[in-house]
Amino acid sequence: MSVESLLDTLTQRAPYRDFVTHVEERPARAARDGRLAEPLAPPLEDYLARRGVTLRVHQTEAITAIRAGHHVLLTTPPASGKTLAFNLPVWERLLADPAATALYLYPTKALAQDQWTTLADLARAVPAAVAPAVYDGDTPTGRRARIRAESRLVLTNFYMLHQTLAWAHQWERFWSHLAFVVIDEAHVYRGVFGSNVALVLRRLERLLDAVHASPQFVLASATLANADEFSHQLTGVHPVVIDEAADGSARGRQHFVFYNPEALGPGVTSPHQETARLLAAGVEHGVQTLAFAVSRQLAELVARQARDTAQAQRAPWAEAVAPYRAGYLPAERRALEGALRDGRIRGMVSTNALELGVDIGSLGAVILSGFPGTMVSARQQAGRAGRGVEASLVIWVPFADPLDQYLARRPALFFGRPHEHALIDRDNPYILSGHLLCAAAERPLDRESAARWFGPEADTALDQLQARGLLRETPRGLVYQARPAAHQVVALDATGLQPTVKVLRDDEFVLETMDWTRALSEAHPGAVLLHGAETYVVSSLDLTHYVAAVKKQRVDYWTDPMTKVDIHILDERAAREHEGVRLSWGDVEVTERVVGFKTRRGDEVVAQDALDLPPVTYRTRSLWFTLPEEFSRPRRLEHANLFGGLHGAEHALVGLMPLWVLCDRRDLGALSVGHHPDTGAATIFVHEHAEGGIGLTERGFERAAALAAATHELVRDCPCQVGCPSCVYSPTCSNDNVPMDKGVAIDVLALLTQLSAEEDPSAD
Amino acid sequence: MTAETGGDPASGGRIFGVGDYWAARLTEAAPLPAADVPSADAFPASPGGWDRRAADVLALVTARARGRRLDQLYPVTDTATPEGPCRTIRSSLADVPPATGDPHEARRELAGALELVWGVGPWHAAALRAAGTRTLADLTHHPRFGVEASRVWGAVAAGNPDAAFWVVRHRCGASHRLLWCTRALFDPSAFLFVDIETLGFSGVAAILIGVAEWRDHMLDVTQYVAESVADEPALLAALAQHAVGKQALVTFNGLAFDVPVLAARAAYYGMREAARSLGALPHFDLVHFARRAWRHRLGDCQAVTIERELLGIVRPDDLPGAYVPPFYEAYQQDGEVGPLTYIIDHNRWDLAGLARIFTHLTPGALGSCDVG
Ligand SMILES: [Zn+2]
Ligand SMILES: [Zn+2]
Repeated sequence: MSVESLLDTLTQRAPYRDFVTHVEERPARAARDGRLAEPLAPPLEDYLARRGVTLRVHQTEAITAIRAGHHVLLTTPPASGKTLAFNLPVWERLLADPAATALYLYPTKALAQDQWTTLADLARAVPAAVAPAVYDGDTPTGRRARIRAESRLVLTNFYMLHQTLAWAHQWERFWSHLAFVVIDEAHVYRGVFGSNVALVLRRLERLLDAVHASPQFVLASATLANADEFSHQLTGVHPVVIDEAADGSARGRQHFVFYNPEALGPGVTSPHQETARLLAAGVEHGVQTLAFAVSRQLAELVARQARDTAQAQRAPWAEAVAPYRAGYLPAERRALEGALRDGRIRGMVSTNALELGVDIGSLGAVILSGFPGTMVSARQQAGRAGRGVEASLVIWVPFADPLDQYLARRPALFFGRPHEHALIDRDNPYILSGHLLCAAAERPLDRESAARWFGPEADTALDQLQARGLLRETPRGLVYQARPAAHQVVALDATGLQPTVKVLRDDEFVLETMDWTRALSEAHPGAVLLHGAETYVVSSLDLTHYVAAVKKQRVDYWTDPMTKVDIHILDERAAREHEGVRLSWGDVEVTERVVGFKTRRGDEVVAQDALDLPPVTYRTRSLWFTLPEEFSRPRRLEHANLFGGLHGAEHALVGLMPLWVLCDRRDLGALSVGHHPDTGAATIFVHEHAEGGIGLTERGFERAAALAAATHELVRDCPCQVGCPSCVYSPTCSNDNVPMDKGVAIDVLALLTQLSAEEDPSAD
Repeated sequence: MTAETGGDPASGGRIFGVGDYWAARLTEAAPLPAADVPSADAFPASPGGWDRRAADVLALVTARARGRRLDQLYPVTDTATPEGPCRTIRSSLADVPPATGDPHEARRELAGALELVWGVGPWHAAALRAAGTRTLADLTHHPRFGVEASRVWGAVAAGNPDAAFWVVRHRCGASHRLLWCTRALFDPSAFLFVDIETLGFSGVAAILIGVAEWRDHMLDVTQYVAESVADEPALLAALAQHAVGKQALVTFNGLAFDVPVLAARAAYYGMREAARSLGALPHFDLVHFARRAWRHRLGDCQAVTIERELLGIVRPDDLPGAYVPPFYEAYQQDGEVGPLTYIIDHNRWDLAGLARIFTHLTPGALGSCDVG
């Protein structure tokens, strides 16, 4: 009854039907069973039989490939049984070889803990001493030695692995018999974190090589446009890919609804209000519904609105709606997960904390409130809908945002083949050199093996580390001679190590810590800081001791930093030119200076203050468009027009770039200038925030034609008159979107689209 | 037309001064000790006593030996090892004669420790004694405990101190009075006192390995000194050579620090034998006994505190251990041996203190012998 009737309500009844702009139906599909040439080891066959599990074709393909000794990457959809597909052959090996070991790596401690439950269950079913164990920061010291001595299957995360490699001799048994490295949710290892993880894996592989172990890699990941390239960058091996095409799991009918609050014009209603309304509708129709919100605050807000709606209508289910997010205590989260699984909770609003692995069963309907930033996330979240072969519903509520609205108008792109590239850059000089220090501290490092494991850039980096006295040449190779231990200063989620600023409440209580750059823009004197549900006002920022002092104070305004960005081009490394429009890519030095802040009450700016803070300067990579003088000169006459056009084009370009390059909008910065001293012309920069760059703009350079064309189309086709948040306005613009000229922005983008259609035949 | 300039996007040249970058990060993470040098009136030669910052102390000790060579200040020889020669400094102390307790008394006490047998708790022991079972030898006839008692008695009675040590160690742990009793079963010359100096706790180099042993009523001290990190394998090899024939280790916190660090360093260089050699020896880690004996009296049971409060010894001119890493770095930077001499002297004080605490500690200080 329920899912179909909910769909009818949405498509046929007011007010819903006016917002429904597209319905995509994915038909139900029968299961395709697979066959193994040889049955599994008897205890594993029994295990499956007792659970009534029949293997599907993608699972048997994976088992066959792993049995044959191949590295394997599984990218079948969520809930298709990927975990079982690799657990069976891994355990078959552990049964056959009583010394063999396996390492399972997860992005979070919670996921490792979750998977341990499954593996402990498997361990009870088979007659072999495997003793699966979680080994992470929470593992009591007293249990660690025993795990190292006895366990044959260790679940951990990369933070822990990074720390543990320096103690490899304690793991000699485990490493020297390592048969498998299993990396689950591999797609999360991209960008800065992924580049660090790739180098941790190279360090591991180098140590394994020394004890003559060469494990098979087994990866599970969401669908990516560059699965093979990505796996190779991450692990150094080319896996056999078992993807969607091989998927043999049964699937119920799924309706995917685009529900666009902008459909009746800008500002008619808000996506949060509509999400709450849809959640209420789902629960009222008896459909268990999970809404994904893009932030913690929105998760709380939407849950509260849905409850308020219910209470106003005296609906009995008001209490069956709850928010869920990271930051809750583990016990709270377990309780909520349980209540969702057994149906006591009918409606939940979650952050992406529920996107990965955590077992909550499947639901009748899922609402995506806003585009979660990447298609990978969108698919993972949508994959939470669909219980077995029953029909399910996914509702996407796009925001008034360039990326959301671009996709909302292009269902074919949304449902088409994957177009996102997950990028890893092992050559970022800061990331690479940090891991070279770690590697040299784990085992003396000779130049040849450095090149083998860490690539051609390693040599130059080693020269510099040696010249500075951090490494020393010895007959055994380069030896780490600094202190403290290298792994203590190399952080996996940063390119380097910025000073950390402590936020002190009442001069003693540490409220939180933040990195230096963030502190300058969010914890400057006078800033309003949100923490929990409370507001704090910053009274001072101590620039020598890195301390921000705050006082709790209830205020009805907030503050926005005003940042001045300067870019200096260091080296143009590649360029393309067409009829005077030039696209370049290379090294730049970015200087960001917080020069003041605005105080806002509501949408109104009530005050503007100047600040005198030191600039932050870093070197990174950028792409930049330079416009010909014939284009600029006439528009420069009416000064604001050229600026406004460049500014609008800049916003829209940055907004759409994550469509090709898997990254967060915050990973990129931008600057447009009517006349840049280094280029001598009107220039739009899109640069990376990570020091040294992590390949985002490099890929952007390659995909620039597609990016420019899409951005042009987006702005041109936006129904607004003078620009709006769906096209050229940016909510994070520190100039309040002034100046702005949508018409000139369209001209600018049209010009950029001429940049050679002949480049790059693989452009999407 | 389309113009191509620049090179292959993947080509090199992006390394922006990473040496300076990491040097700065490492210095931030491991600064000179910020606090004033503690302890009141040691270091008498420094004008203004201890009321000075680490950097001043460093400048002072550097100036004291400016331009001197190590072999002008110490009797330096080279010890040959499979890993190359190792700089070695030898000295003898006459004021720490061997005193390891009476072996007969120790054997008597162990023989009466019925609790050494698995399953025999305080209650059983009392009941057995009341019924006339006074020694392990008596217990060997017991229907329930006899087999295990025979094994334990065999180890204790055989005059093999190694076997006695391990029986007690497994049953009673690292700080027990009975374990301390087993020290008396060893010949004084069989002990190797060990104390190392490193650049930190994990993943960093050992730069000095000091050992001491009793020979002819003297305490002979041998210090293997790394003139650079490149000497570390030779240090480890020299220690492994030196340990041949020794039957027991004595350290202060060596179970948690010195021995695992040495094992890690040897493993780092792929010296598999050296990595294992020390771990197999009976090991008396005095920090455990000292805590049990004097925790209530002293509060903190650091070696220096014990020396000062219980032995009345104040080290002249000694530096806190926290200064070792920055001092060694300073020595590495300009080759001035001043800071290194303070590390060498500090280590020698540690070794002498180790032997003094060893002789001062009696089983009586460790209280009664409940097991487990
Ligand atoms: Zn618009
Ligand atoms: Zn802007």
